[in-house]
Amino acid sequence: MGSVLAVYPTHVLAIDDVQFDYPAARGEGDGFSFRLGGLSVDRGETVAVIGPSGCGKSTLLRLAAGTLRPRTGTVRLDGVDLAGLGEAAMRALRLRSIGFVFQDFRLLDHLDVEENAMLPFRLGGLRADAAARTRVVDLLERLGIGHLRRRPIGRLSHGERQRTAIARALATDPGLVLADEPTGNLDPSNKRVILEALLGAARDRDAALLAVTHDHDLLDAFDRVIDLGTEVPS
Amino acid sequence: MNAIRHSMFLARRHLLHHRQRSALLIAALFIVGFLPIGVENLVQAGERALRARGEATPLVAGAPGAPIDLVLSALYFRSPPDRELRTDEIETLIEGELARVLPLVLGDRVLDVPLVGSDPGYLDFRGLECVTGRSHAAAGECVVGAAVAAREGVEVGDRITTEPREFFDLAGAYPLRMEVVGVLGESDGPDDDAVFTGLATAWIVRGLAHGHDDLEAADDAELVMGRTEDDAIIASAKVREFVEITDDNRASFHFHAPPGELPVTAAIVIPNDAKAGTILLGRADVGRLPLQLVDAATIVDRLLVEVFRVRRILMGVLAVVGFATLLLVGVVVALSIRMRSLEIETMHLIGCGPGRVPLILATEVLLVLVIAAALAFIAGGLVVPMLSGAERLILG
Repeated sequence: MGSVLAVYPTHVLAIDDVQFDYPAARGEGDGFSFRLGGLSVDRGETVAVIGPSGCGKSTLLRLAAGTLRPRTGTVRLDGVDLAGLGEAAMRALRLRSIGFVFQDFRLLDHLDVEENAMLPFRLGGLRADAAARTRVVDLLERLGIGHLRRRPIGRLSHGERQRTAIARALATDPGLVLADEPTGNLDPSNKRVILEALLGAARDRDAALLAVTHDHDLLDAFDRVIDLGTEVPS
Repeated sequence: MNAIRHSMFLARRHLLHHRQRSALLIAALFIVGFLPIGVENLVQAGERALRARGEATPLVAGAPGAPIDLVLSALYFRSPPDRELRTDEIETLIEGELARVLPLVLGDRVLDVPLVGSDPGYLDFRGLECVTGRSHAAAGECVVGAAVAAREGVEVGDRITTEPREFFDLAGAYPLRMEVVGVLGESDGPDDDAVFTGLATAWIVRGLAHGHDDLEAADDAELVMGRTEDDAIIASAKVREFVEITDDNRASFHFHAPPGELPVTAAIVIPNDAKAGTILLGRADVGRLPLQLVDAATIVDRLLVEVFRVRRILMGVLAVVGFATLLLVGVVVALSIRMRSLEIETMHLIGCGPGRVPLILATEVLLVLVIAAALAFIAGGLVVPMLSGAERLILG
């Protein structure tokens, strides 16, 4: 239980009784404390996280990503307790095991579609070999933007940009995809299409998806919904 | 190795994407690097050329005055000193047959370059040979330097006219049309940008000699107004002065001054040997000669001391300007990094290896520096070949 290398093969992400305290702003009384009794997400499972602003949705994602460390409790990714990892090991784990999709896409304007999708291979110790490139090209095809591989980001629609971001998130075949409002910047007609593309691509790769969303119309597409405003998941 | 390769890729793509900003940064750094390199190369080339010209010119004689002005006149045909020698003063240098003297008559211009009056021995002394035609021999003939010929498209057989000395002096000397009898080969020196003619022609251009209608044979009453008691002819303003020397009128050209009083701007003095040179310099030092005689190389060295002093000041100014430019470039880079904070944060979140973001940013800066430095070195190296006559640029 205490071992960093302890393996829990069933759950990609396992959060157990965590508490994270935000310090109070100067002169504003007590700080904010985020508590979560327990949450586990399995491979291939898609989970929506909803709740009012300030309830801790983004905090949950950051705890899962290891960019925030809980005061108490444990966060395990692929069975590895993140508390035992140093900064370098945490970065390496994120690169290998977590994909990120942001509301504002966060693509690099100076790279084209394929280069953006290949970005994780250029940032760490992953090999940007022919196999990786083939995988990324397949992914772009699967997402319907294979014909845009060489197109600069500046000449893409919002929907195409988000598909590119999804390709980047899944390029390394991570076990977990964390999505922060993935449809928040899209027009209504595009939201479901893009969300289904994201869910489909994640399921294809047997990746778990934890997505924060305000689009309640789309919740039916997820396997499970967690409302942080009304319940404490366990 | 992979880290460097990927960083290089990302840096290159970022610089290419922001072409205008990258070009501005490179241009700013290029100027910072190019100016000192260019100035240094120019000064070095000028120094070499000045020294070579000085060392190839043993002694220079001229009227007492600023030796630098005298040497620059004799070597580069620049504006002649205020005072000039007379021909008979030059003769004193030949006493004892210690040296050969090549007089120079300067001050007039043709085709926007100096007209150099000398005897053909000057061309031999400088090792100048005609690539077409021959050396000037008779009055009214000239040979053209290689650069002038190329620039103006002048060929043997062409006629070129000297520039007027005084625009508003109706009684002054008229411009003279000269026949081009030769075009000199390239020498990479000031001789390329000059036109050479004989001493007599140079004096004619100055108005010290002229040719006109033969009044003895004239029977036009409006032309010959009468004769004096000593049989001198009194001519009217109708007398026609020739503006070109031809075989038909050459005999009519004559001087109105004694030959010994004709002016000489400077003279190149070629002693027979070192001892003869020392004797001549000694004579000049003790005032036995009515002129100043200087060692050209020594005067060039003195001039170069001034050039180097100016170069040091210029380099100091350039260093300050360069430092200020580097600070501004630093600010631009810092602002750029700040504007890219979201991009940097995203890379960290994705799992960017430690030190990778600084490596990418450093590679971008390094690429800009390397490109700017390479361009500065290339352009700095091209300054001298592109700007011929470095010494003339230094002399202004």
